[in-house]
Amino acid sequence: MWRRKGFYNRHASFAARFGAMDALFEADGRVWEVPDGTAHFLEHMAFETSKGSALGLFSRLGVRANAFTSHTSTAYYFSGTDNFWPALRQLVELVVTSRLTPKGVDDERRVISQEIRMYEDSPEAKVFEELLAAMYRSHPIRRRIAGTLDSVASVTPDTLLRCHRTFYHPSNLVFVAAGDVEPCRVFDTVAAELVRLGADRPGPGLRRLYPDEPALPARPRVSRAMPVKRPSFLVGFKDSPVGSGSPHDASFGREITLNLVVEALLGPASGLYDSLYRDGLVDDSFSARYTCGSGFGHVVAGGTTRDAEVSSERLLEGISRLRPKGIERADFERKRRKALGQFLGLFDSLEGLATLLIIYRMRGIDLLEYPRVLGALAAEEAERTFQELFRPEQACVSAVVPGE
Amino acid sequence: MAPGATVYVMPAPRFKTIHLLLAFRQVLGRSAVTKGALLPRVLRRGTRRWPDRRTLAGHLEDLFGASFGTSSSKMGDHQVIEATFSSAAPDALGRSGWRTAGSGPAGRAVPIHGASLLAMAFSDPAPPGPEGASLTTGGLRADYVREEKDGLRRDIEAVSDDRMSYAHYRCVSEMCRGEPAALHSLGYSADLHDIGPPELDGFRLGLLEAAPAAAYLVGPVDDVTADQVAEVLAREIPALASDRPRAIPPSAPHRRPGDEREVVEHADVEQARLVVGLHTGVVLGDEQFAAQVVYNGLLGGFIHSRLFRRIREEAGLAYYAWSRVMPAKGLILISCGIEAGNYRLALDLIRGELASLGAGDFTGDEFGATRNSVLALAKARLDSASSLVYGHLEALATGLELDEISPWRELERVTEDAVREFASRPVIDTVYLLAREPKTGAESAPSGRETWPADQGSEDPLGE
Repeated sequence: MWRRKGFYNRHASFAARFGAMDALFEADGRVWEVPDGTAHFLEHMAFETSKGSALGLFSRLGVRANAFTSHTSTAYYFSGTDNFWPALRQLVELVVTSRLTPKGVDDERRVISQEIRMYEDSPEAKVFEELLAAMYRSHPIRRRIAGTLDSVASVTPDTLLRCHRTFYHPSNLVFVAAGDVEPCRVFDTVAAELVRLGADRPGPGLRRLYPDEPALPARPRVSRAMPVKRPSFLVGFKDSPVGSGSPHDASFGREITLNLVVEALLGPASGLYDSLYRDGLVDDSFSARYTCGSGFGHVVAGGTTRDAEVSSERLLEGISRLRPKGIERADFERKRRKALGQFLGLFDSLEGLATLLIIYRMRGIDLLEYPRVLGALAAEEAERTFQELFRPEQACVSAVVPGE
Repeated sequence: MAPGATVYVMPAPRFKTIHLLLAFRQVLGRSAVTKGALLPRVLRRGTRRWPDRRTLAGHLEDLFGASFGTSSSKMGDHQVIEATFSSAAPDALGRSGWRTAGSGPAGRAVPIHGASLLAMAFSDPAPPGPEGASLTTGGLRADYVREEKDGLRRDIEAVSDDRMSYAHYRCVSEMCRGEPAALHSLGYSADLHDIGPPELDGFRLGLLEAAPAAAYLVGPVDDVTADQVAEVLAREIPALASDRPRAIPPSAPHRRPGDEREVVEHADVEQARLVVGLHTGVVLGDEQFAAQVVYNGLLGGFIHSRLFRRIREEAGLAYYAWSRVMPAKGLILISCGIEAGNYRLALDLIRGELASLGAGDFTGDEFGATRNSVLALAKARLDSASSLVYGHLEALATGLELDEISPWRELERVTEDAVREFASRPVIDTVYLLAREPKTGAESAPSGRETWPADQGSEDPLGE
């Protein structure tokens, strides 16, 4: 719960640790494998409740509700200025109960098909999807969040109900509220509602199964033609996953360190970015980030460009040239300072803050520890991770080029 | 400050960040729009004091990761050319327990540094080096102008890659043909050829001398800081302090529509984009404006609205289906992504809902839920600095100065009858469809990439 006095808006998110990555798992004594797009499909179905579509109920209360699915979670949330309490009870109910019907599932399949087609037209979505699929041989981070037209066609009501029973249990859910509301009352309300709905039954004994993943990218290069005018490129560097037994703090520290490294190498103040920009190889769409989760971690850098091949070559060359030099201590400190200022900026967006709190909580990390972990990072560690992650053999390039 | 140049202060103690914006406005016109799009790109490259990206980015890092940007956008018939700055607020930095001693300026002065950077971006850009040597003072760096012209040209050529925003632009452009709002805010690549550093710098000086200017300061700021910000702006841009009035004609409402038109364009897309443009003629400041906002809520503003329910939930034709008001033009845009084969079906559903609302056919419950949602959204905007600033700027385009609360008060007073009265106004002006060309007979479909030339829509709509 994050209290923000003086804000008009109030926000609540309730999320299941069930995302596109959770496609192979053991529950109730057997192994299940579900089609790509299942978690996302379930998100679309969750708004059916005993009282009809929850969207209608939320809107009568004057709150805006929505949901999203990522590789690691499905979050349901609402924001509004009034009627927070009835909306909160409604949110809890829609997550822990399921009312899906075969006809409802078939109707929603058509909607999801249109959503998938929309992504098919987006070079930004394609170039990223293709990068993950090339970088990983078997880790489920390579799976598409919305699935494909074919995989979605094979999702059945039984699959969805099984997943609901398995993943939408309180032991696998995270709740966050943000805004000017009384924290104790929030917790009491959620707890009472869970009891009323009978959601306090024992959990299903869930275990996620991840196949072995090689350390190096499965394919170093992938390219795809699309009917667009301008090419896009992404360069990925595949990280060897932090062991699942390691302390959460270590994984958080590594993530923050690597993002400072990425900022030093490719941020707007870097010489490499400047030289790529001045040659028209990158533009405002350029971004560079390190991301990690269960069994995966990678840097992704790129955007739209005038020439995907030249851009990725130049970026890789640039990094190779920088490796022997390492990162300057003073530069590292500046990035640290910048990171703190940007972290403080998060607190003015209740929705953005709630989303991040959830994502980190699911990894066992308290986001509010960020300033402390950031302050304690050692520059030597940055140097070490830089040398470790940015080796040429860990690189993977994805390109979208204009063509049929 | 000169008449037409104002500093707007929106104190918001609840925020942990401060936001500054300095904007100049001009009427959109073929002769100036491309310069208006190019100038902010060149200005963000650097100032005399921080003459390149690296030193400028280093300065921002010293200001606790402050962000600085410039852009141009379309608001009604106007083009807004702006620079923005935001950073963690001094108090929030102090409370974070972070030691600020050592490198860089103290946190408290951050808003002043921000104001000074915004003003200098416009008044004191990076001067030409030996390469673009100029004996007169001032001027723009030729290498920056050249690089940004190339970048802008690529942006213009790729506008159709974002299918949804391209479809919206094309529909608005068709509806507003003959009006300034028909132009694309990025300008036209054919016009880039004739823009060199002197032309662009002349354009910059013209803005500083005569264009209406608005500066905004939002966040946990006190009167002293606000005064200091105003002083810095007036000192760095002396023209802002002169008595010379700055005025341009306000954005005009969309002219009356003729007969409904259908515009179909082809591209190799997986999903067809349908955009229906409604003429209402009701703009910000009009008596019926609040009723229009509630009407749009009933029609397509929310996921409980008619369009979402009919097109997505009941018919399963689309993933997104919504409508939104263009406040400075008196238009409503309806947008959905469908299979091309469902075009007529989707259009019939849209017509059905327009007719139903036009006949005043909605329940008290539906009205109540919609008004609640509209009110909650209006109130929630008070928590967002960018909503506050851009809402105010858009109103300026229609010649109106909004206070923070009045839009909310007006919405609160809207009655069912007022919405019924308004509901007879919207008429379909243009139906726009972007879809794959149906394969008929022996004719082969032209390649999607060549279906429109890059400068589609560049015939001069203003007859300049």
